[in-house]
Amino acid sequence: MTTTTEQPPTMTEGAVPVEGPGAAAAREVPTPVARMWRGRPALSPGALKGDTVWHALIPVAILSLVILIAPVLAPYGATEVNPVGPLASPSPDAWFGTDEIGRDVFSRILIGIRTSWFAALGVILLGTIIGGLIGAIAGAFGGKVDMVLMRVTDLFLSLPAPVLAIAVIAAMGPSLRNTLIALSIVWWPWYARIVRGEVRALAARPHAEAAKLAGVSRTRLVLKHLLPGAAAPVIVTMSLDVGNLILALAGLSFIGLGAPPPAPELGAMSARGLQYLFGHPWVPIAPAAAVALLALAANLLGDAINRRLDQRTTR
Amino acid sequence: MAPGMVPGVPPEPAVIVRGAVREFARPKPYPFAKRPEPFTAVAGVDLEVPHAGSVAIVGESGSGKSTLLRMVVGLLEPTRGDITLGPGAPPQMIFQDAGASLTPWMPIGKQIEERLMALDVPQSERGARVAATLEAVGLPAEAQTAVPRALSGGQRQRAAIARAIAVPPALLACDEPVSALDVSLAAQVLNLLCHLRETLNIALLFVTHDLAAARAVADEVVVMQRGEIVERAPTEQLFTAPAHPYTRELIAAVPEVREVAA
Ligand SMILES: Nc1ncnc2c1ncn2[C@@H]1O[C@H](COP(=O)(O)OP(=O)(O)OP(=O)(O)O)[C@@H](O)[C@H]1O
Ligand SMILES: [Mg+2]
Repeated sequence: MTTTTEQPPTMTEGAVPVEGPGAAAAREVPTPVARMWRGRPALSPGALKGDTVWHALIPVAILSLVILIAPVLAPYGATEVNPVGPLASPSPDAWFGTDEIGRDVFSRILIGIRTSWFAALGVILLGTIIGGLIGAIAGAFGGKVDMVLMRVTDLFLSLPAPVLAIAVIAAMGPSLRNTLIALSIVWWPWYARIVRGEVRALAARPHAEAAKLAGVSRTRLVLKHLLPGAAAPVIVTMSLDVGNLILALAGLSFIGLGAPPPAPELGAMSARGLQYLFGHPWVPIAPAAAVALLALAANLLGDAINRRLDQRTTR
Repeated sequence: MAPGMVPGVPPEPAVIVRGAVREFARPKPYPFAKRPEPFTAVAGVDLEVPHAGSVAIVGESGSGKSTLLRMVVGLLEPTRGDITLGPGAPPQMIFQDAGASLTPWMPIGKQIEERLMALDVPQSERGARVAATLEAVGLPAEAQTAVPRALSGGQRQRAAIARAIAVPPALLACDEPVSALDVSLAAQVLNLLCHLRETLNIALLFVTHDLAAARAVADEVVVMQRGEIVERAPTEQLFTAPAHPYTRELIAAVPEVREVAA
């Protein structure tokens, strides 16, 4: 790696002669031995700015922003009635037609997409925080703490997810908030497992041992030397999960376990419009297509992030 | 003169190892089986590294060299025996895979700074100390902000050395510091280690497969086999009059050294 034109020093030459300040002074600040490294190599310029895993999330942020502001394009409010009348066919005045009360389906879908998207992100974020915390503690402490936390996690994993979600909502009453809580309860254990596995694996690697030897505190070790290594796999799982959650949310709302009626929820819209499937198919099909499209977009994004982070973590 | 030295009194050794044994539990072959006898990686080693001295450990793969080093720096508890460290900053170690001993996502400068933080060096001094340390090991100043991936193998080696000497320890354990480097780089790193030893009074305990390296840097060589020290001698004596058959074998395996020994 050096480009020096000089004869490299040979081993039998032994040490370079000591110069400059005495040994005691040298103990304070190491003496420069730059002399030995004439022709120091330059570092490759691009390599210095290692991009972080967080850059992979930029597309998610952009899509979220678009979804957030999309409802300004909606010509009507979620519960506003389009003057073209109920069950009108798609037309320039009502792009996706109107439903049985005369509400504008296009407007309701734009608003419904926003709810679904941010609800899915919310559940994932909550699941990651709870699961990440439990996984990090289990992985960092090991031993009994690890065993207890992981058995609890296994317990949650062994519960049938849809049934648990339905039970929680049935007990607390259907509302969007309760649906999110129910889904978070069944979602976090996966993240606990991933984070715990990554932290354990990283803790066994030489860099963790070296940091320990350098005198890094335990908290700092976990936060700075172990958890960042779990970020890539967690982000990949998160991004691939958004699609699943959108579908799960739509499913629960389809069977009536989402926000109560006037709210523009895609699953519920589709369910209630089902009776008009023949004759006015846009009423149930348009929101269903929106769910499919949103889930597809989420999965494509997840795949892209997966591929990008995979490349990055190949060391 | 290093702190803790009194004129006329020989300085205390950097480390004294007495009867160190390290066993590793073997996994049970099947559940409810009787616990198998533990595996003995280091089987009763006595060793002393003098103040600012240099001792090389040679030995075949699996003979317990890394395990011994890890016990000396305190990463592993010995199963039995005593390890007494001399005065001064606690020992540091250059790991067998130096590149992997750096945290992949943390800039080199930060990792060196952490070492200063651990020893309560005030924040205001850290920047200058990091820069001086990088310079001391011959890394360009830009390396401070580089993550390990952005450095070459040899540069990573130096970064690992930089972290270890940012606060000069009384003893530096090096696990095969040059085996992954090409000949001229290896020479540079060995020179650096010698230089650190002479200027900072850092004692060296290093493992090597390279007898020529041992000869260039060490005052004393110990030969390990199956967890035990089978021979120990001042460097020149070991090469001119190897006593143990395994040592002779080792020397015979290095062509240029054989000529000298013959
Ligand atoms: N954590 C551990 N658990 C179980 N066995 C271990 C552990 N660490 C080391 N050993 C065993 O101890 C023995 C000595 O290992 P050690 O790493 O000290 O050898 P070494 O002399 O450094 O070899 P090499 O030259 O290949 O690095 C090996 O057989 C190894 O399998
Ligand atoms: Mg080893």
